[in-house]
Amino acid sequence: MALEQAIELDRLERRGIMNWGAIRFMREWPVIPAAILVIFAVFAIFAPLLSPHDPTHGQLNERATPPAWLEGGSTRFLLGADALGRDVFSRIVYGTRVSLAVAGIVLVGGAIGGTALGMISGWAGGQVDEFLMRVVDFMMATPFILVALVLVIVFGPSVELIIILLIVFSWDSFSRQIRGETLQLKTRDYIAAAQISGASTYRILFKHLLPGVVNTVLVIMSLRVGNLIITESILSYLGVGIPPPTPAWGLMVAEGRDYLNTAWWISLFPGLAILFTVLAFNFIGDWMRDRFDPRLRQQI
Amino acid sequence: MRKFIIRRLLYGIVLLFVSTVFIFALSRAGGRDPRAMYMSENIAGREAWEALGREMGLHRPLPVQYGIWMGGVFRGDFGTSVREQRDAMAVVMERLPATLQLAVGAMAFTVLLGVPLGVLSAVRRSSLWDYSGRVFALLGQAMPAFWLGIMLIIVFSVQFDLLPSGRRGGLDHYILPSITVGWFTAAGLLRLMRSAMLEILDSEFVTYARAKGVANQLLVWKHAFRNALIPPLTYAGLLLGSFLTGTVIAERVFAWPGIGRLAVQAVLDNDFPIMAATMLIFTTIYVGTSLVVDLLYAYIDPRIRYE
Repeated sequence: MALEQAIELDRLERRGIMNWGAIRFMREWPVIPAAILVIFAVFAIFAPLLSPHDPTHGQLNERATPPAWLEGGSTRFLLGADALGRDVFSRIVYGTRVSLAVAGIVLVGGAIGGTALGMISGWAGGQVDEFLMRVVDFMMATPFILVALVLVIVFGPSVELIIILLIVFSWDSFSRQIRGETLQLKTRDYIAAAQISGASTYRILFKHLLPGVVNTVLVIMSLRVGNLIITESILSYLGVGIPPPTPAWGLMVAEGRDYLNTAWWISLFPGLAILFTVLAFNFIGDWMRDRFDPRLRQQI
Repeated sequence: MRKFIIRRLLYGIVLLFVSTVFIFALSRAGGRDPRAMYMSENIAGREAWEALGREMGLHRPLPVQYGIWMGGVFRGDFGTSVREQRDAMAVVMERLPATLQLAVGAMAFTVLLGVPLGVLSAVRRSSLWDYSGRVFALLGQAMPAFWLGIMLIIVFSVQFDLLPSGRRGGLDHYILPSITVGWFTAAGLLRLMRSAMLEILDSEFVTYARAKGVANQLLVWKHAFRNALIPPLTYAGLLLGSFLTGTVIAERVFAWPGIGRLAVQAVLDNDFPIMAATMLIFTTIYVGTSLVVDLLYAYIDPRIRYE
């Protein structure tokens, strides 16, 4: 689909102020999104150093303290405290770890599984291809959130289960795209040459096909991160994701649900953290796609 | 064409069949005894436990149990809801209208906002409309729906006291939940509408019409708009599927008495009959809409291959 042509057209239209040095540089390179991600990465790595309070233990006499700049707020709780007297800022800093770690593991798992399936499907063709593509269709037709809900109840909530579920449901976009690419690459002369010179199927897949699709895999990964972070936060919000008291952003928003009248900051700030992270990833994903694999623009 | 329709229908049926097997497997997963939903062996005593087992047919092999369960499903009999102690299907059917109404509201928001803003963004490229449209789309794809719903409540219900924060009621009760469910999809529709319009406006026949002296209004709405509609139409058809997830979330945020909230509650209560009924309804809606969209698409755009 020609979803992104509009952006290309805009690029041709840059005029006036938008073309000046610094601004031009910022339009060429995703400076602001990258800066946001660096900040969150620092949060994740140095969480114990950066957070002023223990994220899981609160002081009940400090509960629902407003953010520092509001009446009744204190600089001890920069973004306020939640209903159990835990520092919202510290919990957001620790929550970065959860969100980024889950997203990272799932992305790598989904990319490896999806790419493998896509390559097998495209390479083998015939019945195998038909079967695998039907499985992908089935995955796409399943209401993920509900299935996740049920499975979590059956097996009990755990981080491992959430990660496995997200991996299983993030194959589809990889395998579809990689299958298409494999189908194209398969007919190239250099593959035929490799076959004639006696290379094993294993060798052809890993040494000759994989390098050809790796670009696409990276681009799809970058386009998927945002979505993944949102899905994880939805599960945590519904109470079947990361089990409390681990600070996960979605869970924090849910914990503020009962205090909308009195303590809106409990829900607002973790949501903003999700919003900024996802925005930054989406910007960088679009940028990577335009730069490394513009053909994908027509398809995703 | 006929072959395509038959194939597509068969595929839909297979999908539904697989999902019933999946749902049934869930009820027996993890070595759980389905009787445990209704009574506890220690409290009710050995005899009652065994009797319930015979009544539920648990002494027969699993495929037979599945057959018995499926027989019930075909007659719309999912068993008795554990929580409400009455027919599960009846409970679900009571709640279904609320969800459908919410989906209609979300659809209205999506179309009323996505289509005009998309067209305006394309016609007045790089204008204020275009930039606000882009911000709207970027936000829509980066905000988690549950958080958006909560923020809408904080701003419009708590701070300004303009709109109700939940439960069903008059038309004003639909505004915030519809925006919550529809923003993400409106963002997608806007982008799609915009790029489709841009493509058409750049095409030769529009340039020709312009050269011929067709008035701008007529050019945009009659020549370009009608031709740009196919991709957004397909997308809008598929939306029902993504509304399903949206309603599960929004119903929880807004205490909306629909099947999304019912499903979550059933899962938390371990109320298998309700769970099975809602999941099957969700899957049926999804399979049904994607079938209709595929057929419509093939009908509207004959370039689609029927294999």
